[in-house]
Amino acid sequence: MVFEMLLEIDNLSKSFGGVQAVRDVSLSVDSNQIASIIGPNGAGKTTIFNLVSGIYPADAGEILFMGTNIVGKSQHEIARLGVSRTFQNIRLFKGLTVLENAMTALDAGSDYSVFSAMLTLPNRRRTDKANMLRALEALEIVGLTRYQDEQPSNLPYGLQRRVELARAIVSEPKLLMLDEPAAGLNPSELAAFISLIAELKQRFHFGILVIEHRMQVVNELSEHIYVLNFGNLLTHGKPEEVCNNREVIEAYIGEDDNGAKDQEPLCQL
Amino acid sequence: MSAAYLNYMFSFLINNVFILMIGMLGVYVLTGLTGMFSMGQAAFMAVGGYTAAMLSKYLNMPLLVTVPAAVFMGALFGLLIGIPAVKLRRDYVAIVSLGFGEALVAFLNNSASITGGALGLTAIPKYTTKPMIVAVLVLIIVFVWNLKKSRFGRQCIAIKSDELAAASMGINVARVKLLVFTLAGAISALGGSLYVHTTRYLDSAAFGWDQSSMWIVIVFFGGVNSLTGSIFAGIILGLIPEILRFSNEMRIVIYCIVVLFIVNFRPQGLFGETELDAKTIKRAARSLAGFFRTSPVAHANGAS
Repeated sequence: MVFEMLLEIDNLSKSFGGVQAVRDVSLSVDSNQIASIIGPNGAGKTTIFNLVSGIYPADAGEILFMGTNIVGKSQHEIARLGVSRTFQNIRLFKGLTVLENAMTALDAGSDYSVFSAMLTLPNRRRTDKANMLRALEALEIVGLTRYQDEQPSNLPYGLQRRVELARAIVSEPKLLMLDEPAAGLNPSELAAFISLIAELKQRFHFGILVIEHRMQVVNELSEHIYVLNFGNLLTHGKPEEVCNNREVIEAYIGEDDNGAKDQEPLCQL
Repeated sequence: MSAAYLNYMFSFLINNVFILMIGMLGVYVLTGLTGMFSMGQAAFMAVGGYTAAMLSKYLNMPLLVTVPAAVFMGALFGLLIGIPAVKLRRDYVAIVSLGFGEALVAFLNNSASITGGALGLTAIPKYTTKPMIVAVLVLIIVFVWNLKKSRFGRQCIAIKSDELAAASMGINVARVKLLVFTLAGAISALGGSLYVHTTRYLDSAAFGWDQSSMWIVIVFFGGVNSLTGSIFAGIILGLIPEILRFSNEMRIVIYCIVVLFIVNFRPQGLFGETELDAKTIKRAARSLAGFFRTSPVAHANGAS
């Protein structure tokens, strides 16, 4: 099938009760491209992620993933098409080790039966072995090999983020959605994280959609930035275009000149 | 302690505790692994029990027919209860299963012409032997252990921990839950069929919510994720009331104190998340060896 973009969102809308969380938003991400969504709190950024991953259905609009409309498909179907994500508040599985957490993303694709599982038949052993090696590889990429048998809750916050990242990339998705991946990271972790994401893109060539508040991440990584405000798409473009846009500065800092002096500059290019 | 007493306790352990533990393993899969509270799991034991009892008593079917038939019926009922239950939030699952369990017991009580009603069924053929019960229990434990270590076990624990994140890993949550319901029904029904062929007697009162909640207590007592913990707890909590039989009502009090102690001081259960497997034993042995190497007693004994 011929398609223009990896992910293309057309005139997407969603409201919760009387609140219009997302209104007529269109955006697109191509393979081997990093795009960012920025905007103040409550702008509807995470709602877009939740709509793409099928957590709730869109009210109107289309979400085309590799040319097919995925609106109305269930969460696991969308995940199996090759859309994977991380969560704003880390959502790792308690009771599974770091390695097992990473393996869960591959388990949905394994096809041995429950009888084969109970009897440990050869096809189960083969599949699990192969998946374990893939999961170990993903852990190595994010630098967590020596924590493979730990419970994720025993790890510091920054490493837990990496576990989530490993779990998201292990199935080699086509689209990776990162919801505030740098939140809570200290400056040195942040620098390491930015180079890790860049390295992942080099390696897997997937499209990456990032929600982020920290402009350092956005500016260093993204090729295209979408700015949301109150559910509307304010503007979009290359980082340097967006940073100098008056509307964007107003949305972030407010119109008041006195207030603006206390704020950090939006971009440090 | 006389030999006769020990002999009696040994029989009790196998004929009673072990058989009920097979039923409990159904709860382990459903509640321990997947996090769905089944307040009516004993009803699946009744399904298996009545299936096996009636086939053997009325139709003279042998063990090789009655037990598989019981397992099949348990799986079928598990599937039927599972279909509406998997769409519900997990606290409502407890209500659905409780309702199913109590309804089934009431139905069995009121169909006296075939089930014997409240009087129960008697003179059911005895098919089981002690080694057979032990073998079946071990087999089911091995099956559940393998299941836990497979993709299904990981998916179950993922669903218990976070359904939304599990679905975004591509896990078909409803399907895995349905599978677990079916499997848990089959396992508990298997326990029920062995129960009737051992005690030779069956009445519906034995399969009410009190038995179901007892299993939940066992699973939580042992540690929710830990299969070995559940097995350990099943033996301990199964034997305590019998060991304390001499003290009448006090035995229930002591039983409750033991359970409350665990709930208060080890809310994650006796074993918590850990399994008593080769890895854990090896690690424990290593730290124990380290302790003895550094302890002065070992030096005084001339240990290297």
